Amino acid sequence: MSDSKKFEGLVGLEQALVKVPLEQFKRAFKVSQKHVEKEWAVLASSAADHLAKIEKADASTVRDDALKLIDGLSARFGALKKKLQESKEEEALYIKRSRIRLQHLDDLLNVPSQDSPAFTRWSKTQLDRVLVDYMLREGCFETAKGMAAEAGIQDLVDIELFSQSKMIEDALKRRSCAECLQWCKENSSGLKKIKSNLEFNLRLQEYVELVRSQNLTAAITYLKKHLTPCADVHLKEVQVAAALLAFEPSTLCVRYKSLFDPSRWDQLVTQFRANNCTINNLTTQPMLITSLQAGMAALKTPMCYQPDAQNVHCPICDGKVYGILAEKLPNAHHVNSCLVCRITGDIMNEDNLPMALPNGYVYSQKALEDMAARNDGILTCPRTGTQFHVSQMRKAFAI
Amino acid sequence: MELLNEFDKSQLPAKQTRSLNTSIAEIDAIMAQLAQARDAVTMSDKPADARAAVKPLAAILRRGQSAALDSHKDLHVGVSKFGKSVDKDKRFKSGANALDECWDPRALQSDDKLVVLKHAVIAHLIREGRFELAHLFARESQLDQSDTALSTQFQDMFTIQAAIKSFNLDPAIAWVRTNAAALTASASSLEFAVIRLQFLKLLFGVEGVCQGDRAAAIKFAQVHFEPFKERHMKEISRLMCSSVFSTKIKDSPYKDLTSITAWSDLSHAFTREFCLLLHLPAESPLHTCVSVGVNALPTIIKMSSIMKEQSGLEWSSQGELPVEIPLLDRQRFHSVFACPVSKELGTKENPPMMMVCGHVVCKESLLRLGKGSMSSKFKCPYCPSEGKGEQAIMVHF
Repeated sequence: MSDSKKFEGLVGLEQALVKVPLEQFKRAFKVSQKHVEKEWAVLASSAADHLAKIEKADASTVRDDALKLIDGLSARFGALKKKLQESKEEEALYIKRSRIRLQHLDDLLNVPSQDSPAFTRWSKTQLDRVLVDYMLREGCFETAKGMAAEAGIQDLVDIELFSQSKMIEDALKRRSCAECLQWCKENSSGLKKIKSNLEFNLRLQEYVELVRSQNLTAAITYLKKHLTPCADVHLKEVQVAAALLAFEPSTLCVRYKSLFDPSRWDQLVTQFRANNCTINNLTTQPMLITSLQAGMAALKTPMCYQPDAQNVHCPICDGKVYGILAEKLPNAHHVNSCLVCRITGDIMNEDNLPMALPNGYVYSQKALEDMAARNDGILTCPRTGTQFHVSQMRKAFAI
Repeated sequence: MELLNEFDKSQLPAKQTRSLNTSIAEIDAIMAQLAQARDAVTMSDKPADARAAVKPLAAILRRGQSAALDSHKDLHVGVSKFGKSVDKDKRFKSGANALDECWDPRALQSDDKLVVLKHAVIAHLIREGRFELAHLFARESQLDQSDTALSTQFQDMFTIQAAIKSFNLDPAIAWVRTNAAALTASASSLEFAVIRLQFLKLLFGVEGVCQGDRAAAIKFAQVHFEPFKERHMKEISRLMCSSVFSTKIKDSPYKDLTSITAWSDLSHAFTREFCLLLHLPAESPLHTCVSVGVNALPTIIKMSSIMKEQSGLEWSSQGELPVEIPLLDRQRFHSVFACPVSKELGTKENPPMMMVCGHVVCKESLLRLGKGSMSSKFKCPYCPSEGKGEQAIMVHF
């Protein structure tokens, strides 16, 4: 496969890099659009009502009313301006970020080859990104922020997105749905697109908690307000929820016991996480895990687990780390011969032929000639310790 | 990349700024009008004046909104156009979902493996010289800091590397001296490489750092070259000859000796040898695995989608990936021998054997060529020479 085609394939893995800031921009834009369209209109029409009143008002209060109206309007337009500036600032950030990310991908397509220093630099940056993403998903925010700053890749990672989701997850773990419900509101169109029932599940949970505390009147009010309107889609669940009123939290009836199960909170966290990833085009698994599994399988050979065949430069041969991680992975698949010199680590080919010693051990021509030059023509087989004269080595036709 | 062009053509940054400026300007205009109206009301105590001052406000408040909305609409059109180009980009057709749906062996899911993974990340950070981040990560993931030994070792290395960067070889010389025995045992020529570069530095100087000093260089050579006379005599002669040209080196046959890349080459060699003495790979294993993995993913995604269509094919059949993942030369660590006759891979039971003529085939093929007997003569399938199976020797790559 040519390098440029390969790079196109690598760009294909970076969908999230491009789509995340775009989605974030769209959300910020929706907010500023709302400010300009709705809030502005509300201000104007409420002012119009007041003006109509002033028109008819008693002469003695006109001045006061007018001043009050003007001051009120000034304050509210001032607030609108501030809110607009904030959401616009966010928009600008995501637009800037989109440009930087596209440039980062473009840089890859301009790399001459996989052997060039430019590619090594790009792939190091990619690894940094992958690691920051992993740290964010593991909740290690300080490390992630520090690393992003040190590597200068703040615009290539999604610290804000994961901080927000951490905040919501923490709230759910504290058994508070409010934050997550607010998030559902902000992302309603995205959630609708993936047909998520997260919002319903959150409402159901709040209702269950009311029943758990035996606050039944509040529970009925809540049921009517938030759950019954969903009956067209979730009729079964709503019916079960209504019947729950008749049960105590200590019930043994499986169907209702499961509703009281505290592990439902963990399920909410899991569902939120999954939905958040899906609507932002993020993968559910961190890229570190996905790429590490693929990479280790592509490198793994049976030799990695045979002490006499190990190579210090091979990651998998490290039995304390990658050897363990790769345990359950399949081996790489190879069909063609490829010989690696055990002395230099170089590939043996037409330019650096494989040479066999009389004991059957094969090394690269360069390695053996170098050894001979240094030791008056004496070769010492590094694996057996046997010594030979350089004239005893012969070509092995194995490639 | 086309998307970058699309983005630049869309002029989103300009449109965004315009939408901000327009909206703010219109709001400012309204607020100025409000201030004006307030002045008019306060200046007169007649109710009629107050009425007259506020009356036009109804129209004014709505006046700027349409302009602000227009600028927003313009931005919106730009963004949705760009968004469509992103959605249409065929490279993203298989994107995030494909990564989720493709082969996942779930090999790293157990808790103990996840801890090993975290230690691997810490070791990587240490190797990169990011000691504080390594420490922070260990603390944030609630691991006990058991990697301090590695950390200290690499701190040494980065001190030496920093010195090499500023053309100071003293710490490097001290280190190769301390580890001379181990380096010689592994046939490393790092010690000579360091001494050699120090000699060249003394002889020719380093631009902007120090001047060349022939006398000092020769004195250094007399003291330090002696132990290397057997292994590196040729290079020592060359180095000493170059001292004759020390002032006109640029026009001499020795001009390659002053190349500035010698310093970065030494730096690389130093890292390599340093890691080797610690029994660590020269490249960060995490970087090797992830970059091989990222390169492999497009192939794996394609394979997954094919396998989904043809049910019955299994990823883990025979414990091997069903496709070959191409590796770069520097990512190959083990020899693979495929018998040219049977196409089977060499194993302990079926090892590669070299016939008298030097051609290598697997043992089973050898037996087949001799019609089931190791003592019958046959012609090598690749050259005219004849030999017996029993004459072949087992080879080890």
